[in-house]
Amino acid sequence: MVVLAVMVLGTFSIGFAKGGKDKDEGPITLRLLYFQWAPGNALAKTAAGYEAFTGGKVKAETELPGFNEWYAKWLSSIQAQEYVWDIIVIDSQWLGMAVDADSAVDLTSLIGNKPFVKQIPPTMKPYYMGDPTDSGKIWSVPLEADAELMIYRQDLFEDPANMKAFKAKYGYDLPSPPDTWYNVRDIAEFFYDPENEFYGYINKYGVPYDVITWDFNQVLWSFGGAFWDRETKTAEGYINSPIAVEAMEFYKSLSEFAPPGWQNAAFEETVQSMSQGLVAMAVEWSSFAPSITDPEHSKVHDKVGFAVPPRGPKAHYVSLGGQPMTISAYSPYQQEAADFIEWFYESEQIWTFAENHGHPAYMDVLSSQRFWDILPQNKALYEALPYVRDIWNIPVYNELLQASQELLNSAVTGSKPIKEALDELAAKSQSILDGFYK
Amino acid sequence: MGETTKRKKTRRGITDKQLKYLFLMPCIVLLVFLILYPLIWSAYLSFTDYRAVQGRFRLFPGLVKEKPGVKQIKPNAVGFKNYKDVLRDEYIWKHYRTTGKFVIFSVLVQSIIGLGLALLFNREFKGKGIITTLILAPMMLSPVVVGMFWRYMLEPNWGVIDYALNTFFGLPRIEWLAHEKTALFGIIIADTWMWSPFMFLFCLAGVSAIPKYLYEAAEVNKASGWFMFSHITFPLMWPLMMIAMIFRTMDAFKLFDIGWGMTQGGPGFSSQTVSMLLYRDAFLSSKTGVSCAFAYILLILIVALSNIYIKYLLKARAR
Amino acid sequence: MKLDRTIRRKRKKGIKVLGTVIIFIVIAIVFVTYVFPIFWMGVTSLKTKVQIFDPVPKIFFKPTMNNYKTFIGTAEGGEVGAGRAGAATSFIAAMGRSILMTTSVTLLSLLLGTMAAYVLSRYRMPGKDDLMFVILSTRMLPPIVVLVPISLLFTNIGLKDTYIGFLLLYTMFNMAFSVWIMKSFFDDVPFSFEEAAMCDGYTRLRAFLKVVLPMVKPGLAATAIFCGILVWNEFLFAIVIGTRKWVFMPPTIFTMSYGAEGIIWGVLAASSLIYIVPVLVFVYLVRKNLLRGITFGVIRG
Repeated sequence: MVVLAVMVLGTFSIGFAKGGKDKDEGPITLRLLYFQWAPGNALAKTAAGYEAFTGGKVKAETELPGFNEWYAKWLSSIQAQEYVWDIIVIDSQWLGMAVDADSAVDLTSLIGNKPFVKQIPPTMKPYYMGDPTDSGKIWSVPLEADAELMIYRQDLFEDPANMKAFKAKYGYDLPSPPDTWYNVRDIAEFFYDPENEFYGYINKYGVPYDVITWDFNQVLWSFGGAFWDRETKTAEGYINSPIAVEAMEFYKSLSEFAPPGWQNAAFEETVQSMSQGLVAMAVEWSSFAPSITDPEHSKVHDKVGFAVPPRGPKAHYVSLGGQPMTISAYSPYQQEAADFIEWFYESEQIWTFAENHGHPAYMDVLSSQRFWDILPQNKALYEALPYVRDIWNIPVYNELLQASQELLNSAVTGSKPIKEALDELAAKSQSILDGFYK
Repeated sequence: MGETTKRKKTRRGITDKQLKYLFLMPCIVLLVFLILYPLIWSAYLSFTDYRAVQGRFRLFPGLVKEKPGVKQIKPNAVGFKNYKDVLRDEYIWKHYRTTGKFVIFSVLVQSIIGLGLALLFNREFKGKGIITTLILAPMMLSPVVVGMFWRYMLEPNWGVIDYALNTFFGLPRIEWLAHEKTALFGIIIADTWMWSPFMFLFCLAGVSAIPKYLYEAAEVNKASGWFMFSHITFPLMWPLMMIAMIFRTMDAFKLFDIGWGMTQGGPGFSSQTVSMLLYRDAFLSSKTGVSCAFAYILLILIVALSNIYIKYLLKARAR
Repeated sequence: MKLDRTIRRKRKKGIKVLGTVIIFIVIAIVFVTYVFPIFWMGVTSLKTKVQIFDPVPKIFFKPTMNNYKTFIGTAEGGEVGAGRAGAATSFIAAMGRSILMTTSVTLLSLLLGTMAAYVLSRYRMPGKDDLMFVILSTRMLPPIVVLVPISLLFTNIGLKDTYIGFLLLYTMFNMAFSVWIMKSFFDDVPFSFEEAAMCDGYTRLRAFLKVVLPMVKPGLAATAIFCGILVWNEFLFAIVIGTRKWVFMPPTIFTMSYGAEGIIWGVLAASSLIYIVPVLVFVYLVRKNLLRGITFGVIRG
């Protein structure tokens, strides 16, 4: 009994001694939030130098939880309107939610007229620095630029025997990299060999997070379609238009050449299918791709090539991802945070970021050979710049996303007829938009 | 000397009534303190169109000093609209059916397995301690990890299970989580693996508590194995098993981590249970008002069902 | 005649032996089925990522201890480890916090739950069944619903990211289970025991402590195990309420398991295996308590 009592009291007293919250003493600590991957580590490494720069007055600490935890932490802090971090790196689509909750600081005066803003590629600017409220304000600054890239087995594409056989079968030269989405289908069919466990094409068809929506969008746009109209806030007639149906039918036809289990494919499956040498082509975010060229993680590390995703019959668009930085409205250190961002955008820091496998949205870096030499996909990222496009950084982004993930997946797996799924998606999206904007 | 001490103790001892309150109050106070506020908060919001990302909602405005920069919001009252929308949603019932399928299947299978294992293990053998402890290992893992790891094992391209089925039994590679019909089944497998040890433990605790002389008496009277089971074993272990089933059922209804880690409700939403949908609505979509209504409807449903369920189980016990 | 009996006895013995063998085979199969995934986790924890996703999963390969080293924080180089917010996520710190919190919550849950269960078992009260049901219903609600209000409540009262906050929250989660299980065990101990003790001059309280409590040890063990496991593996509230200081092991496992290429499955497997060892040890230590029933030969009606 006595032993037990001692144990109990001992435990509780340790707990209480370790006690409550942190008391901030000494230098001001700016807290950054991103998630754990190569660009995240790059940010952390770069930010670590800030303390020396300010002579010990301000230091920058980066918190890098896992991907899902990053989202959950940020979202719950928004929902409870709490101060936890000073600079939050968010996924580009979340901007609407951040602004709507008044949780991101209006950066127009703090950052808007700084010289580095000129360096941001014009095609990316509307998305990374756009205003969900359409009033010309600036709420975010780009950090990581990301676009979907075509990753393909260059060794197989440029193998003379394959080239010969392909020309014989399809009547045109095997384009390396693929030029149009129709090329992709032909090439996928050509390489599809399930008996030898080699497949043609893998994409992120699955339901998790935002994968199928973003992967389908570039096909949709390249066919001349659109998800919605931003001006009129209309989805009805766009996502279920005949062009959209045609695009979905094409997208679905590509899945015939995908490895088994494709209905559920997300980042992991796509990257691993390529790394294990199971597919000839994959479309994946450039920032997720470093491991494909890493000999420790990939069997085909020296055999792949990177390119801009192909064009469609009507247009050429590439899905844009990436994460901008915002300053938390609840932070008492907003000016310090703005100073940090300005420091970060100095040439030296931006290059540190890039060399640690980050991808800054900074023209001087993106267009330089030095950047292209860091990672094989960097040049393709630069080449994709003219074609990038993003959607939905509005406050109801998440609701629209839940609907589109489920219904696009239902359409592509065939559990719902395409027209029916798209009609339903249009109706649901419309009611969500109406509910918010009307 | 001894007598006086005893009398002193009895006089200074706590009375029955004081004991009752002293013992019961901390538990009740804790529950009230931490449950009441969320319940009232959600109840109030279920009648509004509030979305948590829009701003701070104060149940009792003025009670706490507001920090600068925090946007205050007074949500719009919408009466029973949220409740109506939830009940009329065409897919809600599909989700309830999916959840129901999952709960019934998993609890049933886990109970049977747990019972069987308990009977099996109700004997002495070498290494019993270690083997029993290791069999309990699955439920010690984090459910999130279990979900993710089973997803990895069931993957048709590189998962070990399909590989084994293929190599040793010649079966084709089954795309467990990629097809509507089998996705939920995949989750049931993972959940059963993880939680049948729970049922096993409680059944074992119940079975091993049965005094041996009862069996001996029955054997002397030449009772058959089945008689001993149905008249001695089962009735005496039933109380614990019943409680375990109740908790298992409630937890199965709330299933989230394993299912989310495996399929996130996919493909489409064929494997999406009610609590996954709730997660999407309440958290991801931030439809706070609507999801509070949804949560209350769910709560009422579960309360009603468990009432019936528990009364039935208690009656079975009295028998 | 004698030969007949010997044959019969031998046959009976033979059947008995066969029966025992079959039972052991079944036990072995069961054991393998349950332990295989964990074994596979162990195998995975020794592989590099290329090997983990190989379409031909291998059991014999060149193992690497790198994953374990990464998790414990002694790995050399690499990107895992960079950018972690201070010492909050280091292996030892997180493990220490988890152990501390689990122990505290288990003790408090046992304390409050046992006390309440005893009263509910022994005393007549109006509405007792209803009270039991209400307590049970606190476990029926999916946690995501109470996430935001609890988060708000804690911030306002200043319990966010504190020891007391987590202690109260997790104990509250465990109350229903604790109360119901303990009450069931108390119900199985007839009141005659306390009566006898009180006739001997014991107070109610003393009778409870010295006589009844030892008899419900299996209940205490079972409750301790499950309350402990719940806290040990709790994830959602850990990441939302534990923002800076109180970072427990489950979120840390995930933080450590992410790398440049997504989830490092090897580290995830390694860390999960390391993390269940304390629980396994604890269960092994209390297993005798778990299985020993009420050994007073009580006849239950």
